[in-house]
Amino acid sequence: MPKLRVFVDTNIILAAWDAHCWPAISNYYELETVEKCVEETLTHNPNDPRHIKMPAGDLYSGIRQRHNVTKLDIANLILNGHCGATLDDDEQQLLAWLYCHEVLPSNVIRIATADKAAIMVANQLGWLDAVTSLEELATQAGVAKTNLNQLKSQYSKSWLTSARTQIRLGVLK
Amino acid sequence: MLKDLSQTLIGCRVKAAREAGELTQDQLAQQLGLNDRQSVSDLENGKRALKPTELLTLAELFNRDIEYFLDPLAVTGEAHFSWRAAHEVSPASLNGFEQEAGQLIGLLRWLRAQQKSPTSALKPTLRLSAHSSYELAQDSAESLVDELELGVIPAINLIDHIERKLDIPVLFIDINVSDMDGDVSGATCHLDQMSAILINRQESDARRVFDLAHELFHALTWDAMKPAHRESNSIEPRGKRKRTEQLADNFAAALLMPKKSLDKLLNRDRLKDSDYLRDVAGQLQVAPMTLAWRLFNLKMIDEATRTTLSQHKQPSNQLTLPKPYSPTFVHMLHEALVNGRISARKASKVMRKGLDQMLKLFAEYDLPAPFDL
Repeated sequence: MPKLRVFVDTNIILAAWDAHCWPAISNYYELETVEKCVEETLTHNPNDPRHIKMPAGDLYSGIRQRHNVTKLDIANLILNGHCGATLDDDEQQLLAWLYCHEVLPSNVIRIATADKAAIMVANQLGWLDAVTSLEELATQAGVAKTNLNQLKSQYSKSWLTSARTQIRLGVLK
Repeated sequence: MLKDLSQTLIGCRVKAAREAGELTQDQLAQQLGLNDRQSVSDLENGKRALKPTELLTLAELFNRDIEYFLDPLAVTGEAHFSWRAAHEVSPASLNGFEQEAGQLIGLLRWLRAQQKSPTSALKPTLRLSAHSSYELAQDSAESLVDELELGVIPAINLIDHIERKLDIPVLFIDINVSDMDGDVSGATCHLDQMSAILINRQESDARRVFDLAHELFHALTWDAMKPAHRESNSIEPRGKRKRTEQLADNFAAALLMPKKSLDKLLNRDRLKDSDYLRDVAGQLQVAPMTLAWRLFNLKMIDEATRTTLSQHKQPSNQLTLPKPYSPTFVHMLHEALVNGRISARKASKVMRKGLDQMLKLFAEYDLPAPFDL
């Protein structure tokens, strides 16, 4: 059975590394991302006291495919998809690539993001069910619960479930 | 209509880029492969949607990033600033800071556009021109004190009234220019959709209040008397200061120290007592020197008293640091993040703060963390 393809954004990569579950999820899934997420992961604001330093080698070896995103991809997402203009560059480019390559919806592809605005955009594009949490990914990959206790709440399954419900009920607007 | 980026805004940017590139609508129509200039006109007016391939053509033609057209927070070419800065601040430092301030203004404009209550179609202006006398500028300020019901001490509720009644946002910001020999007091920023006032929150209470009143003048007279990009914030002889700046100073003085307030607060028998007058300045929340000039110009004190009063220092208990930005701005940003209308990292970059610093900002306003990333 082919591995699930999971498109990860910068927050997810850094949180997975910080929680020591990067090796597990990168073995268990076909992780993919866009070049901008790679760049942001490696240059993530060093002035931020929470700065997480991830070695480039570990990042590259864990990602199966890094996609190039064109200006046309971004323009398509914003002008034809009518969304994504207020996302950070990395999240915007990840969703732009997925939008332009029309790979979703699919049973074998997931988007891993913990950013509420990115999840809102995924919903606008009809992909809300494709969004998954880091906790779900890690648990499925066999990471022990204790390793996940230190994760911030937005990486948890329960937070994502709640956000999905709020979106479906129109609470978030 | 796009949800987070209006077709009208894109159209305005297309028009601005075309005009900067000195092309006619006919010429641009040709470049875009459109039938006629009407199609370009519709594009610029937001009646026709821009296609992705057309966007790339425009970006290449006018040598612009696509973000220039697509980022709803960008204000490049739209925001015009007038700064009050010390001579020592280099143009490069000021321009660098203007880039940062521009992003903040772009965020502010976008947040305002997200609000349910529509922005007023009217724009308040003062009935003054560059030819108006200083006395007329003072009279306008005194009338505004009554119209806005600012009370005996106008400084107390000035910000609130400027924001609510005049619909001019005021932001307290940390202005950190690299050459710290001099300081930047603040700025007025003008866009077609709004004016905003930026005040350096590190300044003393009295100076901030005066800056606010001064910048208010520019915000209310921008069309009639567009201020220079940069003005000095130091005290200069009258002859050296530009007329618009002198009008702004006269307006500010009368706004903060209207005759009615002076009549109520001043004991006429003690107009030679500089210690007493310093205390009155404290009540009015202005610097002793500011009150000294106001009273001297109103011929209420003589030159000797003016000089003595001007030498008084502001009491140290009048140096408080206001909360950053403004309650309105921080609440709007919080709401946008809670509702997932802007990504946390995007907001954090625009604000030039780490995610932790963003959370501290919301905590300062007693707001719960809008994200936990």
